[in-house]
Amino acid sequence: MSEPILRLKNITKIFPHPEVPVIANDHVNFSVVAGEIHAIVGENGTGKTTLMNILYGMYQPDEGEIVLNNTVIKVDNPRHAIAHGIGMVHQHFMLIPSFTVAENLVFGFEPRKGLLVDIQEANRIARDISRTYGLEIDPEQRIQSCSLSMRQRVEVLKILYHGANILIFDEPTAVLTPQESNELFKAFLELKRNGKTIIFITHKLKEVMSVADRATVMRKGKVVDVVNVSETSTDQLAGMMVGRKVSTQNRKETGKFSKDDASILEVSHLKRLGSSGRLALNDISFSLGPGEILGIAGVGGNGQGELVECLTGLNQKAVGGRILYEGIDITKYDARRIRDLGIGHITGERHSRGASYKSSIFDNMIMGIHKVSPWCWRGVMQAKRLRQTIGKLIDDFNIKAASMDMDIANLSGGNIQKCIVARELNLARRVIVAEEPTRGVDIGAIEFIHGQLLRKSMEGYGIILVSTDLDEILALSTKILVMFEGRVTGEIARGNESMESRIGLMMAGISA
Amino acid sequence: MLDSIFNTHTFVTGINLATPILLAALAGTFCSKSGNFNIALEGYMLIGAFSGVAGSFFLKSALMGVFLAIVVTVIVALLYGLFCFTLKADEIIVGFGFNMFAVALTGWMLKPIFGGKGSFYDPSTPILDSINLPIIENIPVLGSLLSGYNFIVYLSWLLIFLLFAVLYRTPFGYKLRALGENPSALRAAGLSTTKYSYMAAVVAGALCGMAGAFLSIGSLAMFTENMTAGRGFIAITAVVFSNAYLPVTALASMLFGLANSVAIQFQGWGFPTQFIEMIPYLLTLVMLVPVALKSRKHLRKSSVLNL
Amino acid sequence: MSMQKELTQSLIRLLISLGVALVISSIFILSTGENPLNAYAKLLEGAFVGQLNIITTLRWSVPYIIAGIAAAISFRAGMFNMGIDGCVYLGGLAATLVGIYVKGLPPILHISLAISTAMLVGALWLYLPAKLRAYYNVNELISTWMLSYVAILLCQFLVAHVFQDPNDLAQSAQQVRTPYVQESARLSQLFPPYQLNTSIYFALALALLFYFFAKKTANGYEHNLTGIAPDFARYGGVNVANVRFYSIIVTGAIGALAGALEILGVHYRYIHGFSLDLGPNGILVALMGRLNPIGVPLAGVFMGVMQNGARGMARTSNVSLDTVRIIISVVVICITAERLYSWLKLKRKASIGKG
Repeated sequence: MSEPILRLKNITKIFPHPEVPVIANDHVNFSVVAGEIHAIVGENGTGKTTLMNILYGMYQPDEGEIVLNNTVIKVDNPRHAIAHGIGMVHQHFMLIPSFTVAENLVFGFEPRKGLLVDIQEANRIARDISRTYGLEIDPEQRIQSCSLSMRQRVEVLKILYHGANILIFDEPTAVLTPQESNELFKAFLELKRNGKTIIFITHKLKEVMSVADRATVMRKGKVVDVVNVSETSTDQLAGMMVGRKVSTQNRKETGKFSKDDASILEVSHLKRLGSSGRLALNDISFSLGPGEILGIAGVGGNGQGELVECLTGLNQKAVGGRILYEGIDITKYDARRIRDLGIGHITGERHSRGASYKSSIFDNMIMGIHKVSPWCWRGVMQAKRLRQTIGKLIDDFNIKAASMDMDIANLSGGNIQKCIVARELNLARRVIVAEEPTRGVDIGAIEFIHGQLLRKSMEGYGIILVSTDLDEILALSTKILVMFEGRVTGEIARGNESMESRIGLMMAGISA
Repeated sequence: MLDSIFNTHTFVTGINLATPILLAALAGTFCSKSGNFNIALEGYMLIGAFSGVAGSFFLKSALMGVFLAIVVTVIVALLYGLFCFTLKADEIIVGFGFNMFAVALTGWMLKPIFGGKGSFYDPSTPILDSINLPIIENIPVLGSLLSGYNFIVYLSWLLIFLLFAVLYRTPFGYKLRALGENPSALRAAGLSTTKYSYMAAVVAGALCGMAGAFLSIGSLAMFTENMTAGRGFIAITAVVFSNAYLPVTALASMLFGLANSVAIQFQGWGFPTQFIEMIPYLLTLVMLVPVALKSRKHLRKSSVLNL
Repeated sequence: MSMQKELTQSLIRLLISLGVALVISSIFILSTGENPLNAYAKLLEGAFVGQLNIITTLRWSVPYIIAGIAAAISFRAGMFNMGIDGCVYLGGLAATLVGIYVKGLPPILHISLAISTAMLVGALWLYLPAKLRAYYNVNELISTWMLSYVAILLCQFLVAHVFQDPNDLAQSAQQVRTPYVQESARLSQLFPPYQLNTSIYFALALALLFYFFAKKTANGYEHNLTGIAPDFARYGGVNVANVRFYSIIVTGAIGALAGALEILGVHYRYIHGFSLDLGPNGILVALMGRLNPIGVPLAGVFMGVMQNGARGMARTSNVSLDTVRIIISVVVICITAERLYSWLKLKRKASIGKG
């Protein structure tokens, strides 16, 4: 192995917190060889992003140093990183919607004509750099009308414009279809040919195996091992990531419910407009029976969110079709009535919808039962009974909290998600809509939540599982629907061979 | 009869009514574009008005009055910035507090500085001169419409174009707009979000200081308690109405001034003063109607009270 | 957060903000050559020392408590309702007119009618801004603020031109007032001749009601969460638009109540400017009390202390009334400055750690 061009030595970063300080990076040693594609692997919350943010200058380490080409460098600020040829494409794009592609590309380093910005020159720069690296973009298009993969290309070209030699990517395939991901990896190889070094963060082991040269595995803020990809396997990597044998929760039985049982939920020809004015849902139909877990797969933004909103009453403006729950037409029901019917809605969007970060655990978990008897009598909340129920839920779901009155924001992401799951499973009577139920959550909590969902389906609940995490869908679903641009492009039952590549095609719009 | 309403005098009055609102609205647009829904414009103007009169009276020059108004208001704006950007307070509550503070402060200062109570008026205080534009003043109709205002009026017209250019064509403007849409983009480029927030605040302070000075030493050199009478809020409405798009904001402010002036002409017909006084506020409410019709999203961040 | 923790945190923040405010106002006082400590002593004296002073402090606390609760109802739901003052005037005028022109009712009925009418008027006045905000997302800050000015001017017009006391000439604004309301519409004084009257019972009842609503009822929970986390509330089935709508309207009603009680309890007729900025001060009270049902009434009393004490201070020393307004506005500016507290907390922890 040749000399590393970049070394992070003994990096430690602690985030102070009133209750529980978080050790994001614990004496981490990390090195990269020139011209290699190096993956950093680990489950959510293991400090991978923090480490790269330190390298890019957005955070300062409490201990440790960065060595580039055998010289210790100071990176106090992203501008220093850029000066040293380090660039980063973040998970959430740092683009300005109303600016054009070119304006975003040169942002912060705009070409000048006197006191003004030289837009012509910016357009020219954009065209040139696009040609050099073979990444197609339209300089004059406004970012708000660009697709996600186009936006990512702009981000890549931006850091190349900054002169980056070391390119960092944080979960780059999170918003891409399998095909777009492949395009991205081809771009990686092209960049490698151009002499660039690539570091990418991911939790998807298959990506590591397919494109990386070496991988650093992290767990709980520490480096577990550094391996040559050619000498390892996904199982090995998984084992290192988790520190024990991974038990993939898989359905072992289909439960005692047969196909003849009356379906609980029926969606027929559902149509709905999206925020852009076009149809976000275009003729969606499916049915859900007891004991079924219906997985809805697809790249984010293809109508899944809109579907969930229709099912849970957050949007009552369907323009066609209907939804039947146990025979009742609930298409126009609002969220209150849907919840009164006992349809639970687990959401992965903790920060906006699923939880109130400024409230206590108690206040978060009583939502939905606060107006229902026996927890409420004539408008007055029955505090004792509420506390009893919440206490039991906290125990049953292993939620690690000192007291139910503490701010929910003090809990880890996984524990907050468990609160949401506990709350929704408690008030659900037959149907649960689980939307990204394990987003951003550690493996222990993922296993637990999956277990809970499986348990409920054994009890006869119908579950609609909407997730962009294909592994999750594959692990839990009895039947899978794939959505693309508001339509169902295919339906696959469990146990089908070559499921994954077929699903991949469907996610990109090619019907089965 | 229409003559008595739509004449030169009405137009001139309209421009004079519009100017402070225009300046404040430009300030508000700048702040909005950079992500700050600033309701302290009212307080800024009041402090500017006070400083303008004080400066003119003590330094015996209206120009010095304007200068002092700008300096003092910029300092106040920086303090506002301190609480909003560095100490992370809620911008609406801080804005509200600053408005109250401005009233309290100017009220308090009347005694030690002017020895008066409630208001200050000394006819010997210099006011801003009217400028007669050399060639234009001789053009038959346009001459009387365009010439004879004080320099702040002309400056405000210039500022519309200048500020538009700054916001949409200069690197500084790009960064401000980025700040308003996606502050993390600045951080990723290694730029300080607080620095640009403060810079926007300074510009806003200067503009409102000028607006205040115009109010107090523009015609009569006078200061009365609470003399801004809601103009700052009318300016904010113009910003909301135009969705912080500068050209429309400027147009709305001008139209407001002219409409107000036209409405005042009806006073001659015996309408009670209270209804005349209501006009600006009713006009503002009218401005909100198109916003309602389009159900626009707010400019302010959904600032939840974090008390 | 637990009740206890919430209260201690609120109290600490209030004290820190007050500390900063006192430092700043002391600078102002010093600049005029006066002694700040002497001034504050005179302030406390003016608020508490002597029968007249303490009863007057209570008298002033009443409208502040009510206006504070009014503001808190809107702000707790995330609505920046600036139209309270307009409702105060409208409520005052409505109560006055019922008090003057409705004849032959026993006091209980007469007063109830006057107050109910006032509250109805206050609620209706804010109907439009409430609807526009709740269902069309139109900025309520501006609409309510503008309507407030309109309401005040409207009342002025109505009184000067229609309901003016024929014994006074409405030449100057100061003379704009109606005739007195009948005896049957007046609230009785508790300790004549002092102005403290039975409206204090209204204030206490309202405070208890507010506490019960906010902490014990399901609607109160929903109301609270609509302000703190509207997306979460909506997702949880709360009709956020309705909560917002009713919050603004109820605030109008309670603001009008404050105005009505001021007239029926103290002035016995509508006089120009009787509100003395009750609306904005109510908002200040609500903010200082951090919107919670224990803090707001206490902040109302605090405001009563400040206003009454300020008068005493202005009489017995050379420090002006505006000084108190400066103190209060600085408190409000500081009260949401999160970093101020965390910075001070970290400093405290660091010094404790070292010690």
